[in-house]
Amino acid sequence: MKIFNKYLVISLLTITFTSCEFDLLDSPNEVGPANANIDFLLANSYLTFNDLMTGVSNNTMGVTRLVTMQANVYTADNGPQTWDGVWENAYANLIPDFDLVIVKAKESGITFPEGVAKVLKAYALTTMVDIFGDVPYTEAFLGTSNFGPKADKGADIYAVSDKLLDEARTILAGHQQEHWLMICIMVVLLQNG
Amino acid sequence: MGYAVTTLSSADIELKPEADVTRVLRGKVPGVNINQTSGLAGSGTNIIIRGYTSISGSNQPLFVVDGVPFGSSTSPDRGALGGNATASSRFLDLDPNNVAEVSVLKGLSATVLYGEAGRNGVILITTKSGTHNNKNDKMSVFVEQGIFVNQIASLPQDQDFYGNGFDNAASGAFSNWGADVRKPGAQGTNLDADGTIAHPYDRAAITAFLPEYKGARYAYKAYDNLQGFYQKGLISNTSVGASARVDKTSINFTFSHRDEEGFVPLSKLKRNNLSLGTNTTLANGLTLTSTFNYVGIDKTAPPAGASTSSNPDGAGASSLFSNVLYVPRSVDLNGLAYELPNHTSIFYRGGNDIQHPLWTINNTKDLEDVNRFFGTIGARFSVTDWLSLNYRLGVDTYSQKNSYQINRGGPQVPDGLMVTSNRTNTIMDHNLNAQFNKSLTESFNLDAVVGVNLRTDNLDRTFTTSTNQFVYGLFAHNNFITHSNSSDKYDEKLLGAFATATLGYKSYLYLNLQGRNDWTSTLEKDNASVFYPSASVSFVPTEAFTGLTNNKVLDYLKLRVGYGTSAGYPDPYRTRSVLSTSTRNFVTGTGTVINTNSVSNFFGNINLKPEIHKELEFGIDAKLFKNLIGLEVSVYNKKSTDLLVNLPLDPSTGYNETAINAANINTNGIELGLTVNAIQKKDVNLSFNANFTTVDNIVEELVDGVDQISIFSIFTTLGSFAIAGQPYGVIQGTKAVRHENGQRLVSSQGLYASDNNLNLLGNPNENYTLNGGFNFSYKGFGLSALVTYQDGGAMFASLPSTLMGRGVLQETDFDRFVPVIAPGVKADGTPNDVQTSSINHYWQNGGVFIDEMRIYDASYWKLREVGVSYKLPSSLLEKTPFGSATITLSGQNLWFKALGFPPGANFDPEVSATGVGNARGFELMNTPTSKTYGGTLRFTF
Repeated sequence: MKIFNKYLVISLLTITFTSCEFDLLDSPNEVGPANANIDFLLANSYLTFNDLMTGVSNNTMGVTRLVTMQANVYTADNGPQTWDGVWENAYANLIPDFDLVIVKAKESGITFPEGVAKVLKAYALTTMVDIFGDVPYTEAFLGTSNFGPKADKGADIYAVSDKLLDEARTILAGHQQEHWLMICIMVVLLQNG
Repeated sequence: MGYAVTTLSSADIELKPEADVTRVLRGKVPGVNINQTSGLAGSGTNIIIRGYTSISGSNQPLFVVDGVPFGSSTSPDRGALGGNATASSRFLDLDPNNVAEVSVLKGLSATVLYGEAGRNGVILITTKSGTHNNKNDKMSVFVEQGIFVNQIASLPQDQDFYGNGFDNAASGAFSNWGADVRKPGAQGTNLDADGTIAHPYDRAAITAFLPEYKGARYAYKAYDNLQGFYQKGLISNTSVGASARVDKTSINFTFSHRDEEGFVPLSKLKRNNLSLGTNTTLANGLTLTSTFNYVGIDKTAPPAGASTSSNPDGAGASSLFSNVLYVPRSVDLNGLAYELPNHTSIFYRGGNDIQHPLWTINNTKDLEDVNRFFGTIGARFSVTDWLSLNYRLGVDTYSQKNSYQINRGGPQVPDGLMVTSNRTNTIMDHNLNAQFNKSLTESFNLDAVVGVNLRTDNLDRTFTTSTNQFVYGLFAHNNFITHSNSSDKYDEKLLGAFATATLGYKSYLYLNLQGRNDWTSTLEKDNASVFYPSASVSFVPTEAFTGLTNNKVLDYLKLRVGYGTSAGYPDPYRTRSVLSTSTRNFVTGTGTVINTNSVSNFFGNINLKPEIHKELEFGIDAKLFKNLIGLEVSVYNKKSTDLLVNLPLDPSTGYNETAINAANINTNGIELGLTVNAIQKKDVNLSFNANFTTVDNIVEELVDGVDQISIFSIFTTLGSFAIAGQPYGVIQGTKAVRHENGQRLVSSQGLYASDNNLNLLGNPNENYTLNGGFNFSYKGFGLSALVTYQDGGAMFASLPSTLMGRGVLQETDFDRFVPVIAPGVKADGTPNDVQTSSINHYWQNGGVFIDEMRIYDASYWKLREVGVSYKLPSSLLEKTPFGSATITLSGQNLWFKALGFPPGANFDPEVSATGVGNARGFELMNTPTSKTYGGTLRFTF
């Protein structure tokens, strides 16, 4: 009797303990970052770029009297949260996608996407400097390694943009046809946005 | 026992009007804060034991039913703005009439048996069918029938002299600052001498379909709006049960049916509970027990979107209540037609931007269908008389289907909407342990349990949202033009190895040591294992010292001290970064669908660790003066470190959220329980009982670089926060702009301005809660009552401030032509002397525009329960088949008084518009409460 039960207990314990290695850390609801595809990344970045520029335009049209301001006091029209969307679009949504496109383009040897991403990234960075003045760049995009990135001087970021544009010019020089196609897509998006 | 436990028997729980077993526990357990979300049928309940210790995770306790974990989550389809105060909590599936005993384990040292899920406390429920102790051979049967009336408890008192309009003239405004009905024909008020105005439906959009309104007049007077809108609902509870013993097998069976109507036609709950328990002792010392339970729930609720002063605030949200309570006095809510022949909603506004509440009742609903099975199978083998082996399997699986339906034609959701969701949740729990109980020597006794526990949780969800209804009135997804779907699943496993040993010396000194090691599937291998030990000592001086036994004052005294620890694990899939993918983001002019990839904005944290909780507790249990007075005291301090937080990030980090161990919280509390058995005679019994709870939850520190964490955000300028040095859940919102000298700044128009910023507004946690009651019985007759007093606690309440700001409440019965000077200073610092109209002041300078003006002290008194019972004397039943017959009358929430609110608002602060979760102290015009009264007849055979 006792021996029978001892074996039963030991075998049950062994069964339960061997299932110690749970392999449930990868979400079944998403795929891993290695599956990123350049075309789909670019498609998203065009749409986000559109949202970013629309946001910038909407927030500045009142102040520049292209349209009437929504309220009769400046502070009511531009409160602390007015520019949240633009900030989030530029930093969390847009530029990380461009950086990944540049990395993937270099890996695959297809250079056109790299040129596109550099042009638009430069445009986004200069726009942010035009709106906010000094904004983070060198300390940014580091996740939890740096919770509060410090702002860089606007002039330094303009220099970064210039460098990106120079690199892009070299790359796109060999892609005249796609260059025009891309401009057409951009125009269509900006008109529809 | 070295830890704090409160146990209630079925007598405290059964035969009450509530459907939800936790609401019956309100006021009876010190240290436990039970807060209903609203009084609507089947709405959820928030349960917080010994304060809040989690910022982004759950603070709700673990439910254990008949020894196995019971899925108790609340799963709303919409957030707080969309209306989640009607979402049901899954412990609604338990039948209070089938509960034999409820024990609440409050301290951490009590929870080592149940794993990290018990770190917020454990509610142990033993059902009647799970009790397995039917000793008599006789079969016994009981039948119960209860009938209760359910009506709205919190109707405000409105003034009857001013009607719809603004600036003292009658018009179709949102507000009630219009003409004085006692002065018909007064100049400039738009009110004719005969007391009528042009009918609000005398406008082209309506007369095109309903020509009878052309040129019609409308009586401008105070109508019986709220009294006519709410109904008295009926609650019926039927319960049948039987238990029998045949040889060595006992069987226990219960069936209950509940039919509940709420105080509005759209609030309904139907529930069927079926429960069976068996217990068999076999010849070779093996005992088998089992329980099988089935629950079916059919719930209807109205859409209950949140609102802060007018229409529902959430984009695309719908609400029945947002436009009912402040409806202007001269608008006939129940008499005005609510729809055109083409089913479009019509109401008194010229631009038709308020949905007629009767249209909402007839064209919208929020349905829920739950089917649930839960049961246990256990085997116990007595190896010797001091050693036994136990194995128990628990299975709990439910499927919850929700369908949110809105017809097209109403201004809130003009094109109609249908959102359905399907959730299937399964918990399987294996528990294998050895129990040891032996006297080692004459003085020493050892009681030990060693075991293993494996728990798996699976959740599968699908959602479908359809917009643009094609044919009116048809709710099928194919009748809608635009669709979007999503689905996801979550799997989680937890393995624990635990041991607990209690060494007793004679019968007065006990040492208890416990330890548990958990392995979780939600953390990376390096951090997935955590060990948490506990220890406690209890000492009974009245047994130990012969000088103390048999003394006149102290009958019993126990002193206990305990140190407990526990851990907390994150939700699944928080450690790894993923790729964001999305379909149908854009459709080009030629119809090409664009799908996208994007770097996810969630920063996966591989180094995520478990959170750790440590608690030190002292307690005294005493009985004095020959059981005349019973006293229980618990004092504790709990330190929670490395708390798991879903931290929003500055987007310049490249991400906007991560999961991180980011905070420490310190909790101190005192719990007191007092019982006075004033009269204990054979025929007469009178006892008083009281309990007192105070909890102090302070956020000690946050991770470097973060100065506040949002616990719950209602708007960007309003929410609950965790801020270092402040109480947990402190409310922040906008304030009136201040002058340098600290006083409110008044503009040249005599008005305040909102500073549009986050300021500390108040602490929603109460200072203390005091409950007191009595139980009286004389022969077969019984009488009882329970009263609650809550002291302190700030509340952001939209309803009273909207009723004041719109001129509806009886407190606005003043001469509106008298101007007002707002308290404060002008821009130069001198006291304000600018007059403004009373209407401008009460509307603009009040809580509707400035959050700090709608923060109230939520202290309240409440008559929670009253009960009368009569048990027929057995002499009367001798010739009948009945063994006993009892009639019980009970009433719940019959009277309350909120001390910090305008008296006319008749406001009930025991609500939570943010639903079940970590935020408290918000009321957003969507949580009416109910009072119920009625009786139950109970027969046993």
